[in-house]
Amino acid sequence: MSRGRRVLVDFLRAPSAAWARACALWFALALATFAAARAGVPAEAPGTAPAARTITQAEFCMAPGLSDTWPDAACSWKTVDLAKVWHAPRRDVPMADAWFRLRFHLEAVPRHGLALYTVAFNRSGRVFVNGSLLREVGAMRDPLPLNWNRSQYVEVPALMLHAGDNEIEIQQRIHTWEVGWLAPVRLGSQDELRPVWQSRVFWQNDTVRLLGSCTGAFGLFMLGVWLGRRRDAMYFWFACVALSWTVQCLDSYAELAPLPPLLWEQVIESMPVLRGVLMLTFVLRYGGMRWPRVEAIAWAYFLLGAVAIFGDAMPPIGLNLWFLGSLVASVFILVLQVRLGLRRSRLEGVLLASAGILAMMLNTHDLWMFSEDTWADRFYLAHFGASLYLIVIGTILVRRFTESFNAHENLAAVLEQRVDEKAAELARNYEQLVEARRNEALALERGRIMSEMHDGIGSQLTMALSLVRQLDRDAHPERAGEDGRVATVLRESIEDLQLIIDSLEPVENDLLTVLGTLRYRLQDRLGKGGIDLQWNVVDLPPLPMLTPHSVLSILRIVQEAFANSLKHSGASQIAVTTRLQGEAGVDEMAHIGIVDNGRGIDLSRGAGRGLENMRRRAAALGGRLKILSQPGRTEIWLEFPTLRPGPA
Amino acid sequence: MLDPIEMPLETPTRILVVDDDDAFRESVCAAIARDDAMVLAAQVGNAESARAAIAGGEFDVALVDLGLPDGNGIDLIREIARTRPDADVMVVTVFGDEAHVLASIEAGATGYLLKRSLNDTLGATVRELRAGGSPISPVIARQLLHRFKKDSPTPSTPAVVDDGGLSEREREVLLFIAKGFTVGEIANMLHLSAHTVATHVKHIYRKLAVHSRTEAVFEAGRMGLL
Repeated sequence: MSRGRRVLVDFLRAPSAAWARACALWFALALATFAAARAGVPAEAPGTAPAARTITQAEFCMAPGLSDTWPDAACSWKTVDLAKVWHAPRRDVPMADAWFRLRFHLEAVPRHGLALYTVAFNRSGRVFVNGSLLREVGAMRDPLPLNWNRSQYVEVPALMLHAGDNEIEIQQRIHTWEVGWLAPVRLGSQDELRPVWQSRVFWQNDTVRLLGSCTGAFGLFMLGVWLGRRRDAMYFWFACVALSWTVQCLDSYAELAPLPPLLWEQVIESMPVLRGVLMLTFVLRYGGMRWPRVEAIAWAYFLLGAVAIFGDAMPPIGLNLWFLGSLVASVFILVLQVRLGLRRSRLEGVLLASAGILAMMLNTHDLWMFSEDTWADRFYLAHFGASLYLIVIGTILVRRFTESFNAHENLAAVLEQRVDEKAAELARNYEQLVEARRNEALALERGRIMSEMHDGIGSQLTMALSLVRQLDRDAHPERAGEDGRVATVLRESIEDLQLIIDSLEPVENDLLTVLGTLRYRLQDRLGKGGIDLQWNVVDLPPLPMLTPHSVLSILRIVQEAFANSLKHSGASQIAVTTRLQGEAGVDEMAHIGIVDNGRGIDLSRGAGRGLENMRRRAAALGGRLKILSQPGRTEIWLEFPTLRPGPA
Repeated sequence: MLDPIEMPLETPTRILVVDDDDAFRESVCAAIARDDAMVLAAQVGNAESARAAIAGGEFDVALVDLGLPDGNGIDLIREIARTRPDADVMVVTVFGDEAHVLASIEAGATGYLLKRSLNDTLGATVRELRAGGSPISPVIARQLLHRFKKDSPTPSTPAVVDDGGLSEREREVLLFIAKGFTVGEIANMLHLSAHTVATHVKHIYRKLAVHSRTEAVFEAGRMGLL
């Protein structure tokens, strides 16, 4: 990261950095947001501890070669301010060394010795006190460890110090392609400086490790989702963004880069632009937008820079412009993303906007920090914003995933319900079909019997009646129009057959049609007998119990009642009455009354065969027959249950 | 069942009798001979002779039996309705059952006679028929209501006379008949003459025949026969 940092530092120190400073003012909020985080860092309190001091000047010299021992006087020592940023004098060797000498005065040697603390130290080195080696800060051989973001804390035992002037010598070693630096060095008691160092390690290394792991876990989860749902490419692209961020975080806390140092540096340098392109692709997939040209331009932009970086041909100004382009694009991506979020829900849009803007503000804070050259306490914030931003997007994706999962479940439930409804409907239709088929079969059978009776026995009986009447007429011309005994039997047979056929007719559960049919058949005889028929009926609801069987029983009972009136009573008036009594679904009865004004039935002699039959048939209907007879008025009432269901 | 309607007939009604039962034909001929208002046009015992008689003979009323040895009476009725629209066809039936009667009416018959009571009712029925009235039983009335109801486009659409549907009055008449009321009683209730009520019935029969024919044409068209 060191070369990138250097480039940025140069860039921001230039007059063109004014824009960054201007922008920074706007992002004071970012600082406020992380005031809480900063609160964890004990504030520097100069003067409270007598030994506390910051050394801001040192003697500096670059050794011609690598050495484990103190450079001789030939090394051209000069005094420099800390922080000191230094370049390797030649690049044809892999590593270069530089030496710092820090002088300080002690009135007395503290009992527990001293502590030495510096926030920025690049890259590896050794600490000597008064000429004796105290500690190695990172390994000194190639590859050098990742130390750019690691503060250094070294405890100096009292034994190595003495009252009066003391000096600390620091050896630094870098790869020749990068820059080395040493921030101002603080000296103090261990109790004072150890918590400062620990807090910094927590906020700048451990927290980044945690956040990087979080986004990594998110990324892996999304990768798993994508593996199960290849169609939803957005999960894949988000996984790429998140995992690339995890790799980037590695640079901030890992002891040793997972790649050779130069290659790692190149990867890390190209990472921000790569992540921008991945983010753009993700947002486009998320929004279901196809902008192949924009995507192609973005990838070409990335590849161009990447080729230059890996080919070690990227000039510093080129790298700056490359980052700047990516920065502008990221604003555009954020706007696009917030609009998409708002389309789905206000909360989503607001979350994305705030997380994205916060990430940008914190980024700017870090840039501003570079430009101000505040080496004393470099507190990087970009990690928090970027991680938070990714976690917000990841959460939205997970929510969207679970939402579609729920929607699918609901859909399945709705489908199941529809299938059930359809199945029920089919069952109903099937029942209706079966019923219709049955009715059809019955009608067909009825038609067959009808036509048998009509063309067969019916025709023959009619022919026989006609012949007998002819014979009767020839034998007894004086009794013309009166049927003889044989003719009467034949006629009654035909009439009975007629009754059976009438009972099979489709009356659609209308009792009045049943009775009307009988009236229609008897019309001629009533007319001939000069009998006045009164049709005192009330309309009745459809009675499902009127099957051919029960219709025949009713017809026979009523016909018998008519026969009584016609044959024996000498009545001149017959009234037919209908009515309903009782409550449907409980005890509803239909009443049919045949009332004449004849001489009456002598019930005292016991019921005749006709009445006996009527009673039997009435009982078969589940009903009863009531007869009230006196001279001049005879009432025959048939009462039977309608078996109608009550109102629902 | 129909109230007698006195109507002076200037010329006797010519009757064509189609029945394979010789005794019945004789009996009908005797009945015609007894009545001044009727005269026999022809009497035939099979469908073939009947066709010849229909094509050539002059008649006003045809009595047709449905069961003929060499053909179906329904076809004869259809032919008469087609070639002699001014003539009336009465189908002769043993029981006056709905299946036979409705099929005949659909073919174009406007009346029917019960075979066994023919001697008593022939004259009256023919007179009634020529005057424009038709007999009808409650079951047939109910079936007609059913038939037209099934075919009417929507229940809310008022019945229209021309399209095969029933007029309100016709529906009313059918409903009363289905409930067992006589033509005379209906005439009283609706303040009409018995004759008018009987003419309604005949109109309904004609509508059913027309309706059936258009239905047949429609069916044939649908099946690609036309």
